[in-house]
Amino acid sequence: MKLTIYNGSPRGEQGNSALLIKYFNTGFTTAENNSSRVYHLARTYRSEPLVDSFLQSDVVLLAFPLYTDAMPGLVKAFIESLESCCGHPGNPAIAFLIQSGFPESTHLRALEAYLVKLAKRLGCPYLGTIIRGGMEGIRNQSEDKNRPLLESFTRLGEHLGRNGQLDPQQIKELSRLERFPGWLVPMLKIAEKSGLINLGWDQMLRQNGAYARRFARPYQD
Amino acid sequence: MRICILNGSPEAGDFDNYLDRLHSQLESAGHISDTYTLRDLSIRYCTGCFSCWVKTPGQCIFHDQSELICRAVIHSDLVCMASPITMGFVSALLKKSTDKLIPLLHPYLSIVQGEMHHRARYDHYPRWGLILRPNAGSDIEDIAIIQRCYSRAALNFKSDLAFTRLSTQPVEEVVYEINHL
Repeated sequence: MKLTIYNGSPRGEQGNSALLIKYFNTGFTTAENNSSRVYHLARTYRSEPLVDSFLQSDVVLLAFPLYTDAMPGLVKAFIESLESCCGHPGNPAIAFLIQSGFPESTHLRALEAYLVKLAKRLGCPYLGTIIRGGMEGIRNQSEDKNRPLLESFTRLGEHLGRNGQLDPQQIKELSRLERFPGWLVPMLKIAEKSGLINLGWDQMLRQNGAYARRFARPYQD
Repeated sequence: MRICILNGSPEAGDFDNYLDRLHSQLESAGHISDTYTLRDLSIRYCTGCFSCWVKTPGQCIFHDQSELICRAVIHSDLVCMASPITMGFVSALLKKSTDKLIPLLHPYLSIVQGEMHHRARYDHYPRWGLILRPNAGSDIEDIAIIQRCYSRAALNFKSDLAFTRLSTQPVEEVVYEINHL
């Protein structure tokens, strides 16, 4: 099976999506006769190789982070370049992997609805959408610390590689935090008021010498 | 009302004419209206560098013409996001420009309606409206999906999606809707 993975993260190979793709791809290529190739859309400036690779694949995976509650602009540009592939006979099966910094899966469901329709519009068999929140900063953390989570993506890739399908139970498990449970919200509000919830941002602001200007309003006047 | 129209059409044509008529009628109705033809502006894709949040707070580090759009939006009462529907969604041009509005938000997290969102950077944010040009390949399901995504984006931007209109509807109806917001 020939898999092409399109990494739609604006951070390219440096992003959180790339890390999840790495583990997924490791799982996919454990099966004999499977091959894969990864394109980083942020580093690919011509659409022709991307469209060609799409048409030559058995299965494609489009992976990207949530940007202003939908796909990043460069992912939309890639999708527009695929318009000529709509209804093409023998289009590959398509899967999606979308992730966000916000922890809850609810932020990604509207985008999921678009992707389900996109598969239908392209005329690609739809394999499913892997959804995972809370991924901001995972690229900067120790892979050992996140190994159980990252190996979930390996198992997803293995399942696809062996069966040509994504495992819906694995997808459900990864996206299980749909919304914060009611009892947690007051505690999160306390964390918000105390500033605990924003310690990571404060650390980055201080590292950049920007903490004193953190509330700047450059467009106020 | 101060109204900012963001024209996300990648090509010149009838949609521009529709938005020009909208602009004129809004001005005749007493509003202050500004139209930004996004294809004529130099706007880079967001690179996800977080500089606008943690290095140059409130401002994109690349100093492209998205700054013009940020300034126009934050000084408006209503922003009309206008675009043809292509491959079931707003254009890449409009989506890119929407992404480049995030300097208007603060990175700090906040719980809103039981969900995690980003905090406001400014005291006032405009309401959002969508003006979409359907094509032969688009349908009401596409419009509903665009509305869902942009409603959530508006919530993140401390606002709401006040209306969705199609360019197949007379401009007068859009003006009426805006006048009665």
